[in-house]
Amino acid sequence: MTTPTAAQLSRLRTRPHRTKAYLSIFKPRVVLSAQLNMPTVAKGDRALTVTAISGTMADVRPGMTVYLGTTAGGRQKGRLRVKNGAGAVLTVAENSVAWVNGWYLTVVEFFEPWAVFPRIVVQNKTPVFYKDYDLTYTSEGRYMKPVVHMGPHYATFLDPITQAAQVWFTSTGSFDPTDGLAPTGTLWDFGEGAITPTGSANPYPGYVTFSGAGHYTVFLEEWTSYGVTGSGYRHISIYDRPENGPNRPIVEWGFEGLRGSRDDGGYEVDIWLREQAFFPDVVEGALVIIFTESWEGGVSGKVGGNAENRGEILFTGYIEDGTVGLDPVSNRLEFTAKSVTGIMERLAAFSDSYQSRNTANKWYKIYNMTVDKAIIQTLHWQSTILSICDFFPTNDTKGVEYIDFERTDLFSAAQGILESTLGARMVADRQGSIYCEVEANLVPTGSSRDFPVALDITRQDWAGKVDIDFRMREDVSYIEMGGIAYTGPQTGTNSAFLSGAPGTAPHYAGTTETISGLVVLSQDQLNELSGNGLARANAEFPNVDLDMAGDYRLLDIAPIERVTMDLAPRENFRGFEWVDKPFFVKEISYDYEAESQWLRNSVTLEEETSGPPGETITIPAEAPYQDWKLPSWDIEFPPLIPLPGLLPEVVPPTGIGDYVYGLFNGIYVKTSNFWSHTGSGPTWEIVNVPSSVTGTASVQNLMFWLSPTDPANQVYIGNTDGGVNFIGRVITAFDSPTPGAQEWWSLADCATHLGVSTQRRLGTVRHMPALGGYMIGIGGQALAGQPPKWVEGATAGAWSSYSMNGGGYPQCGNPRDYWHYCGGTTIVAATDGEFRRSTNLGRNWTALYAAQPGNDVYYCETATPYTYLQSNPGGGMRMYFHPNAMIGVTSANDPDLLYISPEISDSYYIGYVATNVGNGTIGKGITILPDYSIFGLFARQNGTQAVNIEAFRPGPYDDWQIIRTNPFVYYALDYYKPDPNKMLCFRTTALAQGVYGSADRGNTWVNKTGNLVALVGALGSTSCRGLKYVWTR
Amino acid sequence: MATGSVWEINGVSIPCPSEYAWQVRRPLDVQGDNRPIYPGIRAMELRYELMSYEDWEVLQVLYAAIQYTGTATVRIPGFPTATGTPFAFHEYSGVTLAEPAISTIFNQQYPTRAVLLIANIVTD
Repeated sequence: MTTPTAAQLSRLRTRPHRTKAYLSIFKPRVVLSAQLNMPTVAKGDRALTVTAISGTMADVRPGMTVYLGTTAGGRQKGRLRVKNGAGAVLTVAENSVAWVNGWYLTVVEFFEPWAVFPRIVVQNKTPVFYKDYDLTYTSEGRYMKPVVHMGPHYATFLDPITQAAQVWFTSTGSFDPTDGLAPTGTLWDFGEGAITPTGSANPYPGYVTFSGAGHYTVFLEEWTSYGVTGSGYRHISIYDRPENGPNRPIVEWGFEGLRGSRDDGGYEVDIWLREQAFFPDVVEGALVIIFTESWEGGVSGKVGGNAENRGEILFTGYIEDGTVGLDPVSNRLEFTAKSVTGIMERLAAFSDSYQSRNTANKWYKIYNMTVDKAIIQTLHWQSTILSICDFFPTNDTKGVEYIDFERTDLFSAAQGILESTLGARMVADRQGSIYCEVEANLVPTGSSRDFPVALDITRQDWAGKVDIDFRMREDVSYIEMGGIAYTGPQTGTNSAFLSGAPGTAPHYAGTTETISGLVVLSQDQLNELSGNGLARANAEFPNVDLDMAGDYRLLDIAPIERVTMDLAPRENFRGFEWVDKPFFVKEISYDYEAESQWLRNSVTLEEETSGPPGETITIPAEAPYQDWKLPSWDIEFPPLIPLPGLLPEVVPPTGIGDYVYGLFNGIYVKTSNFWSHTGSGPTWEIVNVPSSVTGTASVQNLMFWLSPTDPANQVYIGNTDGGVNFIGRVITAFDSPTPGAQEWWSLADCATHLGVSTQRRLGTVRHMPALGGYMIGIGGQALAGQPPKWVEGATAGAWSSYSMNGGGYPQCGNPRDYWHYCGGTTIVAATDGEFRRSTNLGRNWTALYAAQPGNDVYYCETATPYTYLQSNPGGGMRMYFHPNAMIGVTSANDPDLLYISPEISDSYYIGYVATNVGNGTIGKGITILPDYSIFGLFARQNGTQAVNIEAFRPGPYDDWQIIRTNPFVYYALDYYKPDPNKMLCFRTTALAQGVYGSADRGNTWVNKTGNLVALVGALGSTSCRGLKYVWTR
Repeated sequence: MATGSVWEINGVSIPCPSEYAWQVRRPLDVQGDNRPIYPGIRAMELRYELMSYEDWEVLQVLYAAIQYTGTATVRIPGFPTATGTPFAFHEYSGVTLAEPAISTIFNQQYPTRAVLLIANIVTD
């Protein structure tokens, strides 16, 4: 805004005011004239092969306008936005044009407001998001494009003596929405022609000299500290004075009703012209500038314009589509021009949704989102607005978790968000710069409401009478406001607040208003907002209309301008006496009498108000009514992404009761009150000791698996002994101090029967009635080139083995013992960097996908529960979905697969966690719950410090949400099938070692060690080799 | 441009009018402090009771040259200012001309009661 100095104010009040107005319509340079040369061109084609007639494809820049015509230079078939040009192919924006070969395409150096469409396609049942048809996401929600400021468009005269015009340029105000800082790099290109300088790397180049009449386009590229670039364009028209040369502006013209209001978001004006020579320049969408020469008491120049060197620009806008018409009586060509915000009202906007995320890895996610960021992101990627005008955000820093833009026009979509979340408005000033501001009367009073006074209006400043709209009684008796305070994705806390004003008792006149969905900071802030909102709604003087006594263009509808006013009792009917009474400018209109060179504006002012804070309304924990009915809805819901079929019912084994089994320090223990204990913890009891199982005390049991159907008797065991008892099972009476029959394979047996010759681990065991026995996966510290083996059969002697077909996977350097039986004859397994599937019980295997998505697997998520270094978010994980509904997590950096989630009955679901060696991540456990939510325990290693993360995904399509980070390391995560809210794990970190259980899906963990140490000895980091449970119906 | 009491438009001499007058400025509005607001420009009307066809032609051609675009520089008696000399001629640039108006033609060759309005004269 403009605050005049004392000298400027004195000059403003000097009469007469004299103004000569001129009309400029930007006439862009043709950079390429071409003819469509595609015999097979089809409706909606974007890549158009053309034959150049004049110009060169090399001059074509993204964002330019291309006219479509049936004659050279014609525009009969409309216009589109250029995406790019290369060789003989001109690529245009997504369209539904029914192309005809031979059409003429004229690309001009003009950058106008365009909507840019997103595109969402479903690939293998997963939605894939693009912007501008084919732009895939990289990190745009994390590191946003800078908002480029260049100053407004401009039109002026050549100086008759120097034959040059000076135009001021500065990038002051440019900022990086990511952190609010100024861009770190700048490169100006001032256009083609006699321009000094031709370019600059100075963010504030100041005056640039254009020597010669013409239409120029200035280009600015800026980049942020994160290496993200943004660009902007401004159009400059330089004219000969009408008496000095042929390149003059339009002089036989006039305008009516140049008017702007904050409610409308900008200005519009009806213009006519009568010079037929200029009729071809009147093109829908063309840039229109009304510029002036002005004098105040004989001194030339005007104060105002919100930008350096732009005081003589009265209006900047664009010709509205469909308003151009020729009046046959007056032979005048007439059209309507609107501010950029008015043009935005005609641009289609797709709905746009954003989530605030720590890890912004999708188009619909924004790092630490604020309302400003969401607005900017939408305008950046779903329009060209931010490249053609200066944009000023609200600078509100409150966090917001979700924002959904309506499927409406671009202006309404953005304005709707601003108004519903912050009580803010998007308004263009006369120059076409866009200001987003919280309505002044909603801003807290005190230092926050620090709008400077643009003008102290006294009686010499207005003409005629002052129209005062006086509100005798309140229009609003009660206002209720609701809002949510969001602490940001790091902590993820939402707090809902309600407030009512004036208080328990409403005013005795007026209606009630309810406003919800506000983005607030606290209850106190909402109370202040509701109080101010009520005061604003009941302002005593909502409208004060003044005809100014001259050209007071220093007043504008944006940015918000405060004026004060003096009024004597004798100057109004009601006898009000105002001394420096504050108002805000609400509307402005201009009248022009060319014959008198008389331009003057009329303003509508809104009283500045504030009210006492509203009162807190306590939100009840539950709905205060017993029986509520929803109204009938007629809403078409978007199609839901189908989830795989319901998980089968969990069928527990019968017989032995509810137990949690554990293997600690080689000793098998169990407890029957893991969940129901009182006091210091569960009561553990020894099941048996290693020697009783293996026959030798030297054996170190590493893993055990209870038979799913006979857990009290049959248990499969693997150990580290590579000798006589490498892998085996207890066949009877496992849950006994003296277990019954056992059978074991030595490493030599494995070599004989399975072809393995090195240490192996026991993998998943699965009872497979169809085979008359069990299938066991074994893996372990495999050497490269040694594929996993599978055994089946009821007894060791009858076991047979199968290799993954082909073998020879040189990257198989990690266990492949994680597999899952899917029912029938299908098995899926994790190998080194791959998921594999066998449909014949392990005889043959097919790679489902490798580290990167394959043809039959589609990429679904980039799920990074954290980043181990802020500067390197690449250490995250990726989530894939397989058509058979497999779920997996793998690392972008290291595809080793370390873990498969516990099976969920006979479902197809598999989860696994990858590892990154060094500064990476190690998955310590992941489990998929029956409702498809996923719980994961991860360890982050960054060299010297280990940080552990518990994370949760509400569903397979959702993000990871970090529950907490802590110094504990977990293993052996599992959930308790009878109640998926219950989880159990072993914590290895010193000072907190032991068994832990959670009854609330990992939100809180309780030490379940109980008497365990007394039974098995001290618990070290490798003490726990398994936690299993059984339960009865 | 000539000096002295010579009437000129764009350097072209025009006949000395029978009478001339600075037009009264119509107030555009009245300020809140009850002062009339006048436009910042003035106009002078030149009247010729009788003139030759050639002289009328000069006026018409001068007007036609700036009918739609451009402005003229005129040399006419100056508007009084505090430092000015009474009746001194003065050059004003950037003025516009209204189309010369005439009444009847006397004796088939002399236009009568011709009027030329010079507008957009900035005197302040």
